[in-house]
Amino acid sequence: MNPCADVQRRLGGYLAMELSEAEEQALRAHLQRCSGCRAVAEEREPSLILAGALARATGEAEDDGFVAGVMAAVHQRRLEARIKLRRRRWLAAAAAAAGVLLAGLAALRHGPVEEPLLAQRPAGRWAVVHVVPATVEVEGENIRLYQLSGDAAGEVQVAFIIDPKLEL
Amino acid sequence: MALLRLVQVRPDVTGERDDRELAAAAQGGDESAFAELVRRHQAGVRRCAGRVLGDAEEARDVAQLAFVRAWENLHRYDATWSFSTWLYRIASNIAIDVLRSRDSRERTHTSHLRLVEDRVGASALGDLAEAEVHRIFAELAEELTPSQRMAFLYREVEGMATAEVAQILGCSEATVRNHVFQARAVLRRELARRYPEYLPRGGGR
Repeated sequence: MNPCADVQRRLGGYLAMELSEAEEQALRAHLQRCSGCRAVAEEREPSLILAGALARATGEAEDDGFVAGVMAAVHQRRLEARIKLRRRRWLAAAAAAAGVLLAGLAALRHGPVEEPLLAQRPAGRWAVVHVVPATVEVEGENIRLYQLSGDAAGEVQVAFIIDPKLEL
Repeated sequence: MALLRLVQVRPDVTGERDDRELAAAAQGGDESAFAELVRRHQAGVRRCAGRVLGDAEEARDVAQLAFVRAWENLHRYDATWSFSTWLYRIASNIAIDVLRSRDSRERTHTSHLRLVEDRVGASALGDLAEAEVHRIFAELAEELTPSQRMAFLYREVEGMATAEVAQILGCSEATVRNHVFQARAVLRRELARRYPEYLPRGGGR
């Protein structure tokens, strides 16, 4: 059978998108190399003129710079992900520490009233007095935690100061 | 048996690995395998993005972002899909976002200015310079929805099968056909209105 006659007979099915994938590929290949059949197809469906012109435009070539750019971006994302992971671990540790702190605070606030933990110096500044075991003090929303323990060599003080304004 | 062994050995002899093998290696963290996938598909993704967006620089950015997102989401890649289909789907979603974020009024204004300036000359659309063909398509395609534009480009220009286009666009084959029919009708109408000199003498339908 004349291939052009066959293609033109099936053109309606092609434009209606009713052909199988294999038939479609064969018909497209024929249209690419046969200007006569292509003209018939374009007359029936003028948008094929535009499609054909776009398909013949070769477009982008391989570009090593592009590959390098993508891989650099990939490395950057990997680095950012690692930093985020570390930050997340640090935040988890900080949250755990804060949890311990707040638990201690809650226990103290609801526990029995004991001797004052801090005494005010005549100059008006807070001073540490002998306190064992660890204690927590709150001023408004600011928190101080003290661990004062005595041994033979003398007293050892550990202080966590959450707000620098409360520095001893 | 000898033939069978030859067929099995061939990939190792040539050192060529197919996309799925490379994707599997990349899923295990092999960056060189991913770089090879980028090298293989970059031209196609950039070309398609360029046709969709009508802007080479924007297309380059979209293509780069598509590859980076592909890397970040490799654990979601299902090897029952072709790697290129999965990649084009990612690129298409990014391109759709870009199209939607554009200021359509500004683009329409500039396209009409170009229309007045450039309607001189060539006897056939296929004879025009590549950039000019892209510009004309970008102008006419402003009347299309992003999905219609992509269905037309993937099926009618790239020559992809309807089923593959449906996978890329995440819709049914019937929907793809509908998008293509709509796109053809709009492009026919706009071609006749703005560039009648490029139509066949019969004038089409």
